Parts: sequence; C-alpha cells; structure tokens
Amino acid sequence: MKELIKKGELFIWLTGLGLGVSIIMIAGLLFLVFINSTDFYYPSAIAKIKKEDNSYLLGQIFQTEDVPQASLPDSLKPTIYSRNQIKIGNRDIYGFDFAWVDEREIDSITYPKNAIAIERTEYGNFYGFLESIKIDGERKYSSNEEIESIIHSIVSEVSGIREKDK
Amino acid sequence: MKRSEYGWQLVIPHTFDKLENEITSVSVSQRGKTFIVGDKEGNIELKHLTSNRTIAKLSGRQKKIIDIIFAPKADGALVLYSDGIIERFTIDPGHPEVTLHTIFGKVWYEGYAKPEFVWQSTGGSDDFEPKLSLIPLIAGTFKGTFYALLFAIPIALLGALYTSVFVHPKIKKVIKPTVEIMAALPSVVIGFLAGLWLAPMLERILPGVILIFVISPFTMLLGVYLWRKIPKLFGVKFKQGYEVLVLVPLLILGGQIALWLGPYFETYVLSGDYRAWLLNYFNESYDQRNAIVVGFAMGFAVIPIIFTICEDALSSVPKHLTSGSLALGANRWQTAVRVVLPTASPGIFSAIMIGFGRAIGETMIVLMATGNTPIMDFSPFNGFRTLSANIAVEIPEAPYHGTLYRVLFLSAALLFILTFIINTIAEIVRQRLRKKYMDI
Repeated sequence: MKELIKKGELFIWLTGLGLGVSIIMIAGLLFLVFINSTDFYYPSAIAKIKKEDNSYLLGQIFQTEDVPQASLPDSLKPTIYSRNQIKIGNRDIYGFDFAWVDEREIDSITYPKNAIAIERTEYGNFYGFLESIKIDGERKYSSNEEIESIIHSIVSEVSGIREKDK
Repeated sequence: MKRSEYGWQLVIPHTFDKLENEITSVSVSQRGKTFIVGDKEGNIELKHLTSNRTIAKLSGRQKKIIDIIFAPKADGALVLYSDGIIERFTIDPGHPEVTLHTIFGKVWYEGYAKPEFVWQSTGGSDDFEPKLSLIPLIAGTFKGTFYALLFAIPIALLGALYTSVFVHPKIKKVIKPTVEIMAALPSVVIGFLAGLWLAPMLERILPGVILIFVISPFTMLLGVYLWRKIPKLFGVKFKQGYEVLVLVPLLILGGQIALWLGPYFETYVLSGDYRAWLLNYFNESYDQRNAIVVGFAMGFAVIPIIFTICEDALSSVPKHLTSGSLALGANRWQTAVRVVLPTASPGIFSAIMIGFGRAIGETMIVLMATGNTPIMDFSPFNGFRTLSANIAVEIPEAPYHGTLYRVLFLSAALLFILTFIINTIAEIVRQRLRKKYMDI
C-alpha cells in the first residue's frame, strides 16, 4: 500500500476514477433514454394479481419500489417490503388509473393469455377480458375462437374509418 | 403588524421624513403601496411605503388641507382646502417601489417579523406588496454554480489528467469523443430527465447514493488489487493505460451494491427514514427538487467543457518535458503532477473559468430541476432560484414596461456584469500563469 502511494500508482487510479465516473454518466444517460423508449415498443404483460383478501387486480405492473419498515407502522421487525404500482386503467369505472399493492398482500400473480389492453381516446387504457362481441346488437361472437378470428378485422376496420375521418 | 407569541403586534417598520407642519389628511392608494399626506400649510407629499421614500412634493394653494382623495390607479388626487376649493393633481408615480435599497437591501415588508431579503414579484390581491430583492436570486445563482462545480471540477480534471497523460492512445481515441457527446445534449433534455426522472428517484434512494461515495474508493482499491493479482494468477498481461477498462465495470458493480445496501443503511443507521433523520439531527428538510439534483445534472453541461479544454491543455505540454522528466527517474505520477500540471495550468484555469461561466448562466436545467424557490439557504437538500431561471420564469408574466419587466432587465444586466467581472479576473490570472510558464 505504502509503495503504491509512493509510486503514485494509487493517484493514477484516482484520476482513472474521475474518467470512469464521467463515462458511466454519459453511457448511463444514453442507456436510460434507450430503456425508457423500448418500454413503448415492448409493453409489459397484463398481470392478474390475487390478493390475500381474495380480491383481484388486473393491469400492468408499472413499477416496484422498496419501502423501509418505518413507514409501515404495523410491522415490528426491520424488514424491507417491496411495493408494486399497478396500472389498472378503466378510469371510467374505478375513477383512478393506478393501484398500489404490497408484496405481502399478494397471494399469487398470473399472466392470463386472453387479457387485453385497449388504448381508448377517452378515459385512458382499458384492461379486461373479451367475453363476447356484439355488432349492431345482433351478430354475436362469444367463443374464444370466434373472437380471435373477428377481433383483428374489426380493429383494422375501425382504424380505417378513423384514418378516413382525418 | 407582525405576529408575536401573543398574536399580532404593532411595529414601526418604516419611518418617513417629517413634513413641515401638522398633518391634516392621509390618503392611501387602493393598488400599490403609495400614499399621500397633506399638512396644515397646504404642503402635499406623495410617499411610498416599501421603499421608504418621498416620491414627489406637490405645491398647490398653500392653504390648510381638509381632505385628499387618491385616484384608484394612483395617477391623480383631489385636494379639498379649508376655503372650500378643490384642486386636481395629475400624478405619474413611475416605479416608486424600486430603489437601490429595496433591490439590494433588507426591507421590512408587511406581516414579516423582521427586515428580510425577499423576492416575490406578484401576488393574488390588488393591495399586494411587491418584494423585489435580487439578493435571494444572486445567492441562488451562486448556490447552483457552487454545487455544480463541486461535482464537475474534480471529475473533469481527474478525467482529463488521466486521458491526456496515463491512458493508452487506443482508448483515448474513443474516450474523448464519448465524453464530448455529453456537451451535445440539449440542456432542456438534461433538465427534463433531472426534474422528472432523477429527482423523484433520488428522493427514494438517497441513502444508497450517499453510500456510492463511500464504496467507490473501495472499488478503486479492489481494482488496484485485481490489476496486480490477475496477471500473476492467470498469466495474462495488462498494458499500462487500460486501468479505466477495469474500473468502469467495478464502479457499476460498486454502485449496484451501494444502492442495494441503501435501504439497510437507512433502516439501521438513519433510524428508518432519512428525511426524519435529517430533520432530527440537522434541522434540514428534504425537498425533492434540490441542489444535489441540479449539481449532478449540471455536471452533464459543465464536465465535457472543462474536460475537453483541460485535456487539450494537458496534451499540448511539449513531449520533451515529460520525456526528460521520465528519463531523469521521476515516475509517471511525479511527472504528471510536477511537470505536466504546472505547465498546463493556464489552460486548466481557463477551462475551469469557462465551466464556471456555463454553470452561472445555465437556465433550462436549473429551471426544470429546482423548485425555483427564491430562498436564502445553502443546504444541498433544498432548491433555489437563479437569476437566469428567474428571468425565464417571470418574463412571460411581466407587464410590458412595468416595474417587474424593468427589474428583470436589471437582473439580466447584473448577470452580465457578474460574468464580465469573473471573466476579467480569470483572464488576468491566466495571463500571469502564462507568463510564468512561457519560458519552458
């Protein structure tokens, strides 16, 4: 150690530290911008969360944060809990877009295949399941295969109308 | 009036010059803090409360004044004399609230406990008292600059020294443009990320971030250790000048460990909540938009400038000096500190001054990443408002040619004078340093 200081090797490493920090800063910033943009192209899957009290939440897990024990008055041990923010959407029904759920309240998380998210022009995202599709109150598609076959053509038809509107 | 422990208490915040005779009438403006007094002999004086000054002396009929009515817009007055005659005056008070004292001195404002430096240009009601002290803004400017440079100068200087003297030429070719990319980032992007992404995140992970500063020197020592051990163990050979390639992954790892340890550090050392801990032991409250965020974000603007100019200065030190020093038996570090650094000192100095100039005038980062609160407090955990950000915030709302509009122009002039003085001093110092090292 003494020899390192005497030869100045340690100080050279210190200068290297300065350069390392600035490189990490710039690389980190570019990485951050990159990560946040890929979020848009590859959205996370819709999670169905069963809570301990047998209630359910459906939505995308938006972020997770660690909560130290002090802000949870009912716990005695100094433990850190993780807390999830879920984007549950359906603002027209619930009145809010997000819900918080602690890790310890969660019983199980599944990712149902047939859950859908729809971006709407009003009230933000819709999350839910397609039970059936009715067109003009008559033609009804209620089985999974029928919905699967019709939904994409409906979506493209509707967006075609929207394009014309412009 | 001010608030005391017994409720509201009457105080004497302003004392005005006496009139020649007994005052018979006082009339107060409905908008603003101007008022008119008239005396027994017919002397009329227009005074302003905040600035403590007499704006005008009106001479009318020199009779005893019974009553004065001040026009609602403070642009005229009707005076009733004892002989039954009413006289009309037209008044143009100009900008009565601005004096050198209200801008640079402590003023006792309405409802305040003591004279203070306050910037609060507009308020909700008509009888609002504008508080136009530029001192909190100047203090904010220096606070922001201080924290920005505190972070940027060491990193930029050390990085430049390493890049110019120690690093392998192959890496240097890549590293210098990489750091310079930082300068290409628009400051509004940096401000946006700092204000909307970094500030909320820092609030959550501050204990971990503080740990990074403790852990990174140890990761450096670990790097030194690995650097010396790995060649012996695996028979590979490291070339001098590749140290930074070992350091970067280690630093990322150390940062990760620090952030992971952060919550435990908060739980066991900072009694569970660092904000409560700060308030308890240091009586400091933590604001989300604070000087740490700005200091770090301004690093992106300042580091590349200082780094590039510094690096150029260090690299242009004549080769024969360094070779001579090495040949005479000095090691790499001794050569760098005793030969390269002094010779390049004029360039390094001007690099720092240019970085300083950038930091002092930086608007967008400060505007977006601080709360723009014009407070006089040098704690790193709360915000500030700089002269430049203040101009950007208030100019859209300032009435054209109004008092605020003019004060903002004054603050712009002040900012110019500040940088002018600092740059002049810097240039003088630089010239002296150059003369000193010119012969080499």
